[in-house]
Amino acid sequence: MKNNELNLDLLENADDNTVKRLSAEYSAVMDKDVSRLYARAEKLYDSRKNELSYEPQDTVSGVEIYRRPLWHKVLAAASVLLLAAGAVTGGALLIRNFSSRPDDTLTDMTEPETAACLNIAPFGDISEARVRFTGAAYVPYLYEATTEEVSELAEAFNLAAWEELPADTPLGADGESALVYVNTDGQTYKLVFYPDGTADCVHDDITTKYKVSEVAVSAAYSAVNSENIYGRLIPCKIDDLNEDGVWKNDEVMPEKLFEEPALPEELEGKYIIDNTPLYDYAWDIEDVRKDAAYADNIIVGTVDSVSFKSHGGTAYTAIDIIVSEDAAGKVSAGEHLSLGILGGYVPMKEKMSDPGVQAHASPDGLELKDYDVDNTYYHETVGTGLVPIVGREYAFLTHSDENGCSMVGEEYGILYKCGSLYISHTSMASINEFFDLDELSSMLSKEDILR
Amino acid sequence: MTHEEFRRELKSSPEQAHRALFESYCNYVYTIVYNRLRSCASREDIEECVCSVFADVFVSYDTDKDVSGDISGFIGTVARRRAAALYRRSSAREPEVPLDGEALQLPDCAQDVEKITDDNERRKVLLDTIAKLGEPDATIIMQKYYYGRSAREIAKMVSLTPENIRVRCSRAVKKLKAMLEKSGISV
Repeated sequence: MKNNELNLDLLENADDNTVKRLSAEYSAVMDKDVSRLYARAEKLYDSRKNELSYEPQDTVSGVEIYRRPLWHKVLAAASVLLLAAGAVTGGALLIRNFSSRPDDTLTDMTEPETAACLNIAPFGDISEARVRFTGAAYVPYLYEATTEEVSELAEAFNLAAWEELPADTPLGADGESALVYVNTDGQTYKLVFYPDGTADCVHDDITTKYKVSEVAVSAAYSAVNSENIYGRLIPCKIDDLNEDGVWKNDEVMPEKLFEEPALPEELEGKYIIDNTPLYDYAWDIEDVRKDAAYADNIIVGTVDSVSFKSHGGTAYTAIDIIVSEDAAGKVSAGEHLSLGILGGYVPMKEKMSDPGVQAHASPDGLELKDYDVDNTYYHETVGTGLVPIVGREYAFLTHSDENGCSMVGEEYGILYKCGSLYISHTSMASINEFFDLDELSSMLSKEDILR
Repeated sequence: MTHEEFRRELKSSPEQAHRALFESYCNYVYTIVYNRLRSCASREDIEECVCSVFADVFVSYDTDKDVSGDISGFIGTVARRRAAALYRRSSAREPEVPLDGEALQLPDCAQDVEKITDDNERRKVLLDTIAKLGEPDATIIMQKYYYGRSAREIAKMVSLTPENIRVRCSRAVKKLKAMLEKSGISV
């Protein structure tokens, strides 16, 4: 490095405090750019607002206008708001406030144990129960408590006094709530703890309100806001966030649903040029509902291998699967099937008829040598460029015609199987949708409805 | 700006409310996005991401939700998520980068926590030392070496000539390096 050069990469990807300091002390935006950027933000806002209010017209045909489902945006917005209101400023402050609140008449950690035990939780001792938690920062995911965590919570619940309140008691639930699900001997309970020290207990669709000692409320909030949740989160459908529904799925969300494919052995040492070809699609292929609407079957199978093929200058990724089941009954369990999606590697010699390729490969106009042509490959990335993971199980949205069975929606027509749920793949990593197989099946062949 | 103030402004004039919010938090959002994408996205992409963050905030802001307090937490969350998504896409073909961009920040073992703490401390020392240069040198250093601005652009910000900027910058770098060396930081 020259003496007058300076590398400030250390400041990248910094913690919140550093970012706040950078923002406060240095201008990131030049004054002259503010109006231009604001105008662009408003334009984007207008276009997104219109997407929200757009209703498909019968007269439109041939082209699908991009429109994400409304609830999708609402969910995203809600989760962002919850995150902002809850994770950033809420949980810790709430718990801290509890600990210093003097007027909680039920809070008495020094109560004699014999007296406290008389006030055992209304659902009994949960020491042997299964317990799951969710909170604003990670809903609709849950995590299941370990034996030690259950013991801690049970101890706190058993020490606490639970005073039943009249059903019409208004709850002063201003702030983030903590959700605890209990499954003890097949009896399920949903406990919603509120910052004001009250709690709802839902059992058999009946809600009972309680005033609860701080020891239990604090324990519930601590567990819900635990930092030790990574690698333990279980996806759950929003509709299933009730006392019975949360137990439907047991599988933990893996760190990754798809992966970056490795360079095939036969291409090692070759000259690889990255290319991102543009494809036009007749509908928004990232929308699972639309993909399903144009599909006529869902094939669930385990990925056996992923390989790359090319034909006529187009790169394909071949995904070989071993079928587990399918919705339409067209294929048998154990059958091997090969499905293709766009993207992968294509030799330059297949693309030499393309004038753009020639110009790029030989800008000086000189004829390319055979050696160069034979040893050059294009790596074509379509969509995210990620592929399903070998050994994992996925649902594939497919369509059959006289030429056989083919994928619908490219990579977005592939959903990761996580226990009883199928998780959509998206380029926006923050939003994955969960479906069960019946739900996916009900969305098949609805092409007419989408028109 | 607080949630209550923004909601009040939205009721009287959405456009004015948007403008006020944008002017108040443009620098904050830009800083967050730039900090995440500095090495992997172009300035145009970063600007587009900043605009998208505000469009997201305007679209998704729920006026019926009874949220109170400073709105910066909400805006910061949207900005970090947007930037993380773009980072993931930008680095999708870089094999040395973990696929899950967010995972970079998850302290999953003591060693990571130690490294994060150490990096945070070094950042603090670095910024403290740059600040010790005084103005306009601190701004010149940050604008040139962190934000990548030209001498002409910086000259407009600090009301000096581009020539002056070049000379001051060269001296400031030498001085800063000497100061950082004493703190055990190499840049």
